[in-house]
Amino acid sequence: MSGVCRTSRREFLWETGAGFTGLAMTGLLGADGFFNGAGASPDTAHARPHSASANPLAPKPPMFPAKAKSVIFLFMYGGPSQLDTFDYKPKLVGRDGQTITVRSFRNGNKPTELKLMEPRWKFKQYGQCGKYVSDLYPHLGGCVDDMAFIHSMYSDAPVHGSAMIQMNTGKILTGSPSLGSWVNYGLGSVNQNLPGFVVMMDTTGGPISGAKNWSSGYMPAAYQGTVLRAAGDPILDLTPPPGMTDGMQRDVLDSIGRLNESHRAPRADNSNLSARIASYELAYKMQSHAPEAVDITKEPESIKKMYGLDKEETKDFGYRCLLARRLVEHGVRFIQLYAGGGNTNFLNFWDAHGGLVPNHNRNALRTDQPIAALINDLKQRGLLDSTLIVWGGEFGRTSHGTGDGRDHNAYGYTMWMAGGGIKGGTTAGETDELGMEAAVDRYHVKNLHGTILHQLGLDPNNLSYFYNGLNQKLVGVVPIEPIKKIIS
Amino acid sequence: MQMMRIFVKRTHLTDTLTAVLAAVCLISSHSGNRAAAQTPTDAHAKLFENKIRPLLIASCMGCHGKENPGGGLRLDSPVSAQNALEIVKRVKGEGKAARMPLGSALAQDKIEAIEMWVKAGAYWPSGTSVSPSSDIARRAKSHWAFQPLRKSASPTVLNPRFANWSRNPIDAFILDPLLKRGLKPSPVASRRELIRRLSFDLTGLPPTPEEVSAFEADSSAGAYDTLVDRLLASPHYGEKWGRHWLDVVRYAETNSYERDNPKPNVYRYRDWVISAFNQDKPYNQFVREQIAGDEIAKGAGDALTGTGYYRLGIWDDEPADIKQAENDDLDDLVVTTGQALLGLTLDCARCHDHKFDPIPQRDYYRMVAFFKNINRFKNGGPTDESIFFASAEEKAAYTEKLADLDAKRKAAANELKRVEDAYNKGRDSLIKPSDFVGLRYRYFEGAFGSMPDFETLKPIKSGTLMPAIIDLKTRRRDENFGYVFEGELKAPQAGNYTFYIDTDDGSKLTIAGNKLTEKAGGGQGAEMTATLHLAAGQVPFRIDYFQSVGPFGLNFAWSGPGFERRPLSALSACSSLGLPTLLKAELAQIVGRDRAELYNKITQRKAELDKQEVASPKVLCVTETGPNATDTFVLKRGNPNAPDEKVQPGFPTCLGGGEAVMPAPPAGATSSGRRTALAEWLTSPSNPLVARVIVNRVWQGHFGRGIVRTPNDFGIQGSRPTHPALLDWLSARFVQDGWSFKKLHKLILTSNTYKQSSRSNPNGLAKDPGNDLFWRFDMRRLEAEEIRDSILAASGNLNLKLYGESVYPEIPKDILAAQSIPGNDWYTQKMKPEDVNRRSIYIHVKRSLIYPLLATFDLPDTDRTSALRFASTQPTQALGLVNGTFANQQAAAMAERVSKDIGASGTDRAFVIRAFSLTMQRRPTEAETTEGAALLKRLEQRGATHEKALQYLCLAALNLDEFVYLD
Repeated sequence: MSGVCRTSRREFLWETGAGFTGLAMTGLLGADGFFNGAGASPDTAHARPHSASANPLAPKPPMFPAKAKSVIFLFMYGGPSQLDTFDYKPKLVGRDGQTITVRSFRNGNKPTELKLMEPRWKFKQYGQCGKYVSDLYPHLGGCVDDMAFIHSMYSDAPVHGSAMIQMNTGKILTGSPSLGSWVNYGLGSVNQNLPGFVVMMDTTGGPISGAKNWSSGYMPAAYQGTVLRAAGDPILDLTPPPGMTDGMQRDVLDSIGRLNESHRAPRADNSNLSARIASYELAYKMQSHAPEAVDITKEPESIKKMYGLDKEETKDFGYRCLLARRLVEHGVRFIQLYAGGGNTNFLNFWDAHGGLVPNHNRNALRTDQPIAALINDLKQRGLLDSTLIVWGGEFGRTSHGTGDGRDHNAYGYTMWMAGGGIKGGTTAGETDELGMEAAVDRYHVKNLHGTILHQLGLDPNNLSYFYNGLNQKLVGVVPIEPIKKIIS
Repeated sequence: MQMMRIFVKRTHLTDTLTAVLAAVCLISSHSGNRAAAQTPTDAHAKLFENKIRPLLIASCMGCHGKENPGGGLRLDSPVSAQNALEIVKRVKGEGKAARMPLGSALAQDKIEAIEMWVKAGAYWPSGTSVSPSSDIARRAKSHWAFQPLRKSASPTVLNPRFANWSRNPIDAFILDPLLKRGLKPSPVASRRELIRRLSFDLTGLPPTPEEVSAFEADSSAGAYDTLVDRLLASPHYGEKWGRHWLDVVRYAETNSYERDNPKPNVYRYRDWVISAFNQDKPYNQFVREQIAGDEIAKGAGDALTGTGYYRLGIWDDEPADIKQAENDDLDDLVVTTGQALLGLTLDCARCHDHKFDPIPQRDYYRMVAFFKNINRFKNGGPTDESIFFASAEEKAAYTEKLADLDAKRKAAANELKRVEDAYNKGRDSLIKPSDFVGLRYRYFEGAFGSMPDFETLKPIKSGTLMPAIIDLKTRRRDENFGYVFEGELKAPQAGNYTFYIDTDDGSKLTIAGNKLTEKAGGGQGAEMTATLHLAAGQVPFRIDYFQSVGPFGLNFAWSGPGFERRPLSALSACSSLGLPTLLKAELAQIVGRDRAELYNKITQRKAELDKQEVASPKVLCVTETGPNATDTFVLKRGNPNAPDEKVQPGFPTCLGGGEAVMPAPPAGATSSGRRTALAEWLTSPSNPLVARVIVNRVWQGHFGRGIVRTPNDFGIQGSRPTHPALLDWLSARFVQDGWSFKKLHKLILTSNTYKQSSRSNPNGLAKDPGNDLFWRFDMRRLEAEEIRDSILAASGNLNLKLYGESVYPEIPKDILAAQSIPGNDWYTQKMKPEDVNRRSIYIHVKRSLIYPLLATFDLPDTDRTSALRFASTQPTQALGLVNGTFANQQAAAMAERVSKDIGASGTDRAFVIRAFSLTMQRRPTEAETTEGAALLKRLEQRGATHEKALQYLCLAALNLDEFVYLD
């Protein structure tokens, strides 16, 4: 199925509100592959036998054999500088303070005279591939043969709010589902005892626009991201209220179950009632599964050390990287980790308009060893092949600046991926010689999203959801290509 | 001649072609002449409509339309036999003349179609012409939703068994297809089911157990109708139905994006909506006030509040591309207006013609033109807000505050005046003409840009000043003049003397041959001082001063051994330097230190008072840039940087189109009147969509789904009505009833269709599992607000206060922690305890921080118009209702309430019975009572206190399916 505006009936039914309420419709959904609706008419579909399953997160097969089963998106909130991390620009060295004329979003995208700012860190070659990585990321330098760099990323919004929304939902306007929602919509979740789309904040706070970044937009709430906390209750309301023991809770749930069952009996055709009864059991199981998934006490010391849990600077992000690995093992489909958050202190996220050196030193130090550990740990467990790691911010930073800091740059920046069928040690695209704008093989955020979906076995140009009279797609109406160069 | 681009698509000869061929053969063999072929058959018409017309439009109209047809050949109207034959030759490329169309040849199947058409006599449907717009018209003609309302009579049901079932015409419309399909309506639901259904449907609240008992006991014939009337009259009706509307108009109270800051006074729009429903404001007026309330009401009355409609959307305060953002804002209005009011996805035509509906791109921009003149949202200020009083009390309070402030300002001004008067008098007495020994002036005129050498200029006047005090009285004008003052000052004794001089514009002060100060020009209030040792006796002094444009001034004073600063220039010479400067220097000396301090204090206070504004109640509203609207252009590919044809405001072609006719704006008008024209068109009785769309929404509000299941899309992609005649009949009736919602509700709710039981039966399930035909009532889960409000109703904590500013019930810290500034703009700590227990519609709607309980239960996304709500089932809902703080707090309150209700002697069983009746509004069965009582025992055996056990029982009751599902 292709084309811009064809209707998948499954989505259509949701759109019409029948998806989760109409008794017979739920049966249709169960019998429907999410992808096969185009040709079926409601009349023929009605003849199908009813199925009890109305679970929107039931696992679904991919459209074609998938390379990756899970995604870990390491979101570097605030916009890290590609020029000081992975995009090696020797021609920028020695030109500090020189005036250049480049377009600037601060000046209506008009050519503007600005002062160059050379990289503040030295670069070294690493690995078989000889990739240049700056001294900010020595541990990651050791992983370059597993990583694929996209140096020619660009997007449409040079300010945090809309850029975050675009990196997460593909659109610069709010209201659309996020990438994690699309993935769970497309594939469902193999572990019903845990959410299929998990978001972990930095300890310093959340990103701008908060929950809009993991919203399911016009899709049902079942697809929205669930915030998993590193401390305390991992999921909201996961623990019974003070005083209610497990036994008491079991008694309460059993009574609810029995009373619900007698209510349901004369309404047996309504599968929503049985689904709701089942959801209480799922919730009960989640109470034990989720804490187990985030319990690292049984992890060996060597692993904890590997992630940097023994060091003040790395323990926060390291802990969350370790949780990410555990969640992958538990079958969680999409995990997003924010490095940086809270807008009360500029050091707490990558937005280095000033103090680039202390800012990036801090933020890179916090993430370098943990991310390298995540890659290596997944690898040693044979999970890297099926786990796609994505690293990047909502944009990069300019090659000009104040001398102390750099501005936002959506014209050109770097992201990298690893695992999940990505060809390690490769590089796609280039910025110009000063690292200001994507110049060779330019890749839009849509291409990045398309690549992620593609690795998961979903065709980005066909994964659609009918809303507002249109088959909406994460990548928009114009078909896009995944970034083939980095796919193995 | 221009080439038309042809999209080649190969298909096989259609059945139509074969049929025409057969017809042609038949005709040919029969008579062999052309006249016979002129007799149109279905096959002729089909061929023309399906093949020829689209082909002519796509491939020929570019050059052979009505305007300047190429070679004089017009293909928009019937074609002569000769031309027809020529066309065949030309499209086949036979002969020497150029093949048509220029450029790529037509696909073979198209050529064959033309050949076939010509052979069959080049049939042309009489009275029609072919043009792109006629094609739109043709497609519009074929879609049900664009047709005028059909006012058909309700069908007569012949089956005598059901002759009495029809309570009103709705039932006949429902019954007829049911019987035809071999189905029959379900029996009437129980009284308890009916009152629960009605109470939630009309007020979003459960009935009290007492109301249920009374209704169950009332066997009078009118009991049901009385109940409907009572609920329709309830002020909570507006809260329930207002909320439906708020979904449709993407209501939220913040702007989204980076800051997601609150919109000023947006809650007034929410209140306006609630109140409109409560008053049964006719829908046409309701629409008019939202679209053009400012123009219609001329700023008076609450109609203006309705225009908050335009300000509800998301707003980027820091757009990357301002033009794009402006167009996105306009798009938001077209999306909302199109879908909410017309059920049309006009927005699909922003970048290209609509892919499905007959909506050309031009129509999109003609709709944009209605809104183009609106001042872009700024989140407050005069273009977004207007003074507004919701009540006479509000107005009185405001007037009082304003008068109070005014009085304070006046009092302060009076006090200042008194001191200034004293200063003026005192200053005169301070001046000592004996300070001078002779004071001469020379007065010059000229446009001095800098200090001239006055010695080279001829004075206009000169003389000696008597009394001896510097003033400028001898000047002939206030600008472009100059003075030289000369004479001698008398120093009473030897010592240091300080001189103070301030001039507007330039000056030079020379004492005893020393140049003490020099000022180039401009400025005021910048006093210069210089100190010089003088011997006792007379010293020569000289001031050179010039004034170019602007106010003038010269202030000169001195102080010395034995005397404090005293003026050497008159007050009248200091006009522009102003009192404040002088006062600062001289006040204390003249009026005394205490009064001077007081003066300074009052001055400060006055400045504060002047800055103060009485927070006038304001309303969020729309404004325009002025009476002459900004131009609107079609944007190529929707690109704001690629303007194309200029368009005027106009209505969708598929609905009859036409340009909007605006009367010339009257003198003093602040807006173009375009939106009034739109409002009039929308609400004219001939508009086929507006009534249908809203009637469908009302039906959906009662039955869980609309007659059209896609309430925001009545276009070709939308679903077709299951009961088209019913929809039209109801819509016509609605208009006839003065667009009254309450009359429509009454009609629907008193039908037997609505009163059916929700239970299934094998026949119904087998024949119509989707209940397309309404053989029963569909169960529905309560909406998010209904769930929270019901919990509060059961616990006895529900605060039923109506209207007012939004409230901030507690949000778990963990959720707030996900904000970039945790807790930002969420003011739980400012709330009184009863405020947080208000109905859910009054909870602040912050786009990036939706109140979690509501979000979990499918509150729709706030950023786009929402036509219907999901009713998802997720384990996180169960977690919230079993473990969550809110649920447990309310369960505890409910346990207390139940205990009080049953009294000290109440048994566990009595407790269970009361708890059930508060939640499910019925007495539990024996088995249920036993289950409840047993639960209490088990919990206590596990060590729960009696109190806790009771709380958990209540918690269980609040979690039951029956509590959140309606039969």
